[in-house]
Amino acid sequence: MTKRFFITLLLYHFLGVSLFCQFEEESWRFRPQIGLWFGPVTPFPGSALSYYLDTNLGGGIFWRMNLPSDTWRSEVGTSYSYYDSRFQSALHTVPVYGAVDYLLPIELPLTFYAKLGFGAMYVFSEPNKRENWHPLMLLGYEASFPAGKWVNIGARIDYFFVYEGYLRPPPHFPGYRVVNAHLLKFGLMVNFNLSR
Amino acid sequence: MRREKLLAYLYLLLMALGCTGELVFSDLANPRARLVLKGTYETNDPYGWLPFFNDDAYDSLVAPGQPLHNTDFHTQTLSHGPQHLEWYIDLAEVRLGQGSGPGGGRDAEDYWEFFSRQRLLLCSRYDALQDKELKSCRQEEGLAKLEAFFGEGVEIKANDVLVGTYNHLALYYRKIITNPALLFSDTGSFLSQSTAIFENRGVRGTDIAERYQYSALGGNATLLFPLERKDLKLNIPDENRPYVLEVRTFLKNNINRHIIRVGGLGTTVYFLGPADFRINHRYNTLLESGRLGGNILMDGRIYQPGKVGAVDVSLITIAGGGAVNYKAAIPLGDSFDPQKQLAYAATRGDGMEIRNLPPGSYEILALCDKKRRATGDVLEAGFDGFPETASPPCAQVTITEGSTVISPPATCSCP
Repeated sequence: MTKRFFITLLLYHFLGVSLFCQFEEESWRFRPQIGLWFGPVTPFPGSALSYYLDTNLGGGIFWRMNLPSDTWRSEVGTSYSYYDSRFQSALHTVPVYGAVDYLLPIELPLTFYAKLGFGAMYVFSEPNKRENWHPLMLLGYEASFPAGKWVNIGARIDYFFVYEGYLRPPPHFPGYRVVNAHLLKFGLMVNFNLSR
Repeated sequence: MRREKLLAYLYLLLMALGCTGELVFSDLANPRARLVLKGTYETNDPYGWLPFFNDDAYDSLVAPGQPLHNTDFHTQTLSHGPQHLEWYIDLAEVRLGQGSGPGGGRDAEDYWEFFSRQRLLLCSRYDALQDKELKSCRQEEGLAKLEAFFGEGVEIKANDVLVGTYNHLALYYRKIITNPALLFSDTGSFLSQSTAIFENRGVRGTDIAERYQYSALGGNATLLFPLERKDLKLNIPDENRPYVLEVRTFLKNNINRHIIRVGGLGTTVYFLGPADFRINHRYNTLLESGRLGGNILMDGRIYQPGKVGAVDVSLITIAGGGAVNYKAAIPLGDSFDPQKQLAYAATRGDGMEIRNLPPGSYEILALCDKKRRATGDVLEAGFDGFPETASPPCAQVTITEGSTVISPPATCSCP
């Protein structure tokens, strides 16, 4: 399952690149962006992990380019977030994802995107030092405005569903419940237009 | 496109290598650690409540011809039995550490592993003085938990800590209130009932934690964790299966009638609390209550519930027993001092089985209460509920996982 996710995802991404070559002559222009964000991260309130982990800080980087359409863009990104607790429990996460961003048709000087993405997340837990790569799905929302020619400033909310349910519970652990992660990341964001 | 394809394959390969099969989120949501707290000497099948014992100071003051003989003090307190006993216990924290305590460049946050920060409230009744009620204790079902605490143990929420061996176990009892606790004049006439504060409400009784958790005379008045052990070997196994940290605080059936005089005020304080097995306290002055410090004995052990066996001790008989006796199992080769530690695992004197023993060899022995601490800090013949006397090992068994071994018939003789 995981592999199929990524093949589809990567093909989609490279499709964008190859299409761009064909449309270069038209009025549509290639406008890649690179961006940074940081902000609070938290397990989704009420989800299984929210009882064991607290809110902390995270930050990330993404690269984005417009598809041969003015309403769709593609984005790849990664980030790091750390969740700790009042106890010894802690979680480190590094998602790697690709997403399509849809420009919401809202008539304001702001730009709004809704995002859907897939990828994988490297996860590492303390104190038992368990690590793995898990498939993820991303739903995102973003609002930004231009601050001059090269810079956009905005805010983003990413919701990550990270799937662990494909694993079996350990054999000698009665009552063990396999859980998935629902993580929220809020970011203040700056992105740079690499071309005009 | 060839380069991109290559990159895609490389990426997938890295992904495949990264899949460890380990449960990460679930590991956080399913702590392996379970914390079971007991107020008994026994690790399973404890005695019911036995009658109280008398401290030697009490006995000497109510003896015929002595000042308190046949006074209010004498008649009222002598009628007290376990049916009158009330507890209000507030346990704040359980911590583990490796070493001899914070300090030397390590602050408390670094030193301690927080095994549990769940506050545990236990109480014998939910109504407090002045028509108030103990709301939190009621919400947390403190009555049922108290019964479990003095039975097979009360389990509270625990958290995983780093795998390793811990020598340091610390318990912080915020309050241990016992009732009845009464005030009398020095001539033995009744003055009033003691009251204490529990959950910000007044309750009848007196807080013995203050008296027992530190030794005012020993200069240890301001310990953060007055109830601690630094000589344990608590090994947290590196296996993905649950383990139990069983912590016993010896309170049940160790209860004595104590008497201490508040010098200058002309008041005699009567309260119920564990035996002064360690250092004798006298009647004379309030200072004597400082001698009670250290008389609550605590012990802990770790076992994995899926990897234990049991021993049937029904063929073991105890000879030369005292007022309270226990059958105990000690891992072969471990040293055991009955006056400094609780037996590794134990059941009541007429118990049939000792359970939750990790595989290995054990010696079976008996523990008997035949002595008590008296004037001059000597152990005299008498009963205080604390089993100071251990018999030599009388049988040896090898425990295997998941089965009950029958101990050969033997007689354990308490000298």
